[in-house]
Amino acid sequence: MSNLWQTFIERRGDLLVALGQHIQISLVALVIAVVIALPLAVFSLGHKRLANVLLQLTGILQTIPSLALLGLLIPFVGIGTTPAIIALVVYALLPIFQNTYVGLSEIDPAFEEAAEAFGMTRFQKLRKVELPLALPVIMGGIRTATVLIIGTATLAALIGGGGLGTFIMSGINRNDTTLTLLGALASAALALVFSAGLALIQKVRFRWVVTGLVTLGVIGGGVWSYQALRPQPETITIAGKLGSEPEVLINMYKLLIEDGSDNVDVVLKPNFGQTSFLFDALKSGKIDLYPEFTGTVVTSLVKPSAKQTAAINHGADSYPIANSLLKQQGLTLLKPMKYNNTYALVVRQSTAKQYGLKTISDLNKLPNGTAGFDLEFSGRADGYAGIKQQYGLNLKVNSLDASLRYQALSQNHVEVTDGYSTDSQIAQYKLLALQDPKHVFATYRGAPMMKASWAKQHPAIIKRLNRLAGKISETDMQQMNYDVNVKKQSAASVAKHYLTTHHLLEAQK
Amino acid sequence: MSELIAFDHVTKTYASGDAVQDLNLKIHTGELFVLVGESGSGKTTTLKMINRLIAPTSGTIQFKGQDITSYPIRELRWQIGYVLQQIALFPNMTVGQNIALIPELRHMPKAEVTNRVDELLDSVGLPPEQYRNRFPKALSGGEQQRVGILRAFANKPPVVLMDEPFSALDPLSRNQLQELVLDLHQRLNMTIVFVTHDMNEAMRLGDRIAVMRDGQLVQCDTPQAIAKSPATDWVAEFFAGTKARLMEAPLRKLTAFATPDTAPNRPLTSPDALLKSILPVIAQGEKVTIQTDSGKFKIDAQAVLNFLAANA
Repeated sequence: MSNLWQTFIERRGDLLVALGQHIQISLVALVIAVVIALPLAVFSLGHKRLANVLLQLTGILQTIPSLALLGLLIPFVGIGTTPAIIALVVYALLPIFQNTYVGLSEIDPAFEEAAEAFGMTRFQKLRKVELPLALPVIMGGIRTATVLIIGTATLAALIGGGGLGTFIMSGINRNDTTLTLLGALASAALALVFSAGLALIQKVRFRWVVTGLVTLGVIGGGVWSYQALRPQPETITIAGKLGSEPEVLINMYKLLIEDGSDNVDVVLKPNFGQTSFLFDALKSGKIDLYPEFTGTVVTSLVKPSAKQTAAINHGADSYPIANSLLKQQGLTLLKPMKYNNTYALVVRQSTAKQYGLKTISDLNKLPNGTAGFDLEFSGRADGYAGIKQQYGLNLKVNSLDASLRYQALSQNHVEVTDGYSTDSQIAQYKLLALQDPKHVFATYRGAPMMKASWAKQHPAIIKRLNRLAGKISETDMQQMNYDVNVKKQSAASVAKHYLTTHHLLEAQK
Repeated sequence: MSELIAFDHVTKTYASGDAVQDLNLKIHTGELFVLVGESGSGKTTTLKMINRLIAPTSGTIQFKGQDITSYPIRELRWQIGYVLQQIALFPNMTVGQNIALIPELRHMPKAEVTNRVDELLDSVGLPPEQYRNRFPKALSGGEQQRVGILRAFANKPPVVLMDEPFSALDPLSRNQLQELVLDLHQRLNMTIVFVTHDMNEAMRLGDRIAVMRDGQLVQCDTPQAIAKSPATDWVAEFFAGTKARLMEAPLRKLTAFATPDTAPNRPLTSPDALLKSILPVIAQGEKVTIQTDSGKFKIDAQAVLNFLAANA
């Protein structure tokens, strides 16, 4: 309990901001839901079939799980408050529509007849008779909707919408119950206050309702202008390709970006898809940056000249070429990390020790070299065919499916296999990736890629991201992939661990 | 006498059959016209066709010599006041707002509306300063219908329709409100079309009475003419039955007209005894005391006369 109080005191500033966001999201959603559901209910009053269809429809909408609804909305409206508000409106429609419809249709027909006989127009009848008489039932629906909205609005935090959910989510994330409890209690209290407030509105005179609304407007305006004056958190969206390695990298980017006083809100989209998909998303501004590799840039994303290709094939650094060609497309690739994620010939560490293997040419020292290669690798010019020629190897080659290579190697069926230099299995099975001094394999060095204009606008962030330049060896990356894939640690904690142990975060200095 | 409303071969058919069958009827300007009949006789349907709450299946209805469908509907309804059996004062409006409703719909200046409301409340014995700002639910049934009538008269329409307005009220209130209707009719010199199932009420109020049965008009004449020469046996029975029934009323029905009896030890008569059984005693100037749930009451000749007057 004292723990809760202490957390409350410490975080009260954040809590107030989250509360303000929560109220804002909830009120906006509530107002929109009323504006949609109320006229719809009024309109369907004379059309029983339409009313039934709408009741069914709003009912079905409400059964969509909120997480699924948010997920479905992201492709259309992105992330942030917009999809959150849309989802909340969808949930609030049923209670408001249903109660308005029921309230209006249960009015004593004598009142309808009187209004009719006194020569009221449809609108006068609605305003002077029907709505006031149905008001208690309508308000009941609005109250139900309000409680529902305030409760569900905690999910907005999942998609960067802010609000009290941020406390709940970060509490769950960090296994900090007090944070979760704080967010949940605040949200429950808010629901109670709103519900009681609406109940009060029903009882007091119209004049007081107007006074109340004006007061609420003033408070709302105050909160709004406070938020407007306060530096708005900028949302930075980072995506990554499929797999553990990009996920660890984007988590590092996030930690580095947030490792400063800048008021930013970093959203991660791991396992976002294939290269072309990410590249399009970056160019269209849907995401702000993603980790890309120099080799991929020069082979798939830009068109190097014949001269440049030749230079790369002779072992020239592909980074400056990739970067200069990206610049023509308005993009930039920051300075790459140390490790090279490329094809590698892999042997057991025991074998390497026994025969003193370090580079690919050392493979000639093997008395009976049997290799198990993926079919594609065996045939490629930048695969075994090139290696054989450049290093003068003479291995006995078996074709092996990619998924079986490491198993075959670790169980001594073959002495050499192909792989990628940062594969977690290299750490897992105590293997070694041999060096390629003749640069037969293209270099694939990773770095954050972004629009050049974005980089120009965020010099401080670029500086922090560049702390990774020249960092992370193949072994480091293998270990981190191993931690995520095999030891099932979260990419976020693995990323954080690396940055802290290598003193790359400002906070610990 | 000019005719204000005329039904010409009007029929209203529902899925269950004819509610009104080939009705021909003329209502004159300035008369208090009563439509009487049992439930299901078509009297209310007839009434509601006048202000177009119900549309006839065939035939035409004329108002001021013109087909009612030729008027803009709101213009027509503003000329026809309406009092409902359910009273239907809007519970979200005060007494004053209920009465002011139609004048305000017609954009009468606010000061004038306020004056009109106060004047009307005053005229029916409801002090404006005391009643104007009350809500209907704070009023007794009789007071509510008084306001219901004022609401219909506020706009000074040439005709007011009343649909069994007093059937839900206690006998005393009903008596007082019948007085009020007669008084207003005389004072304002307007046309009233009044629907009731109570022949006594019809006889008491009507300048002319239209007796309806099974959707058809059976007889339409002055109360005296109907009493003297009923058109059919059924009319005679309907007319006489009420008289006979009046004498068969149990004494408890006279409670409203009796005075509380505070004297002790007076012999009690059962409240279930019939009126005719005590008439010989009353005729000798004696009083009869009954014990009811709400106390002891004495019934004298005046109480019996008041009861008969209210129901005859």
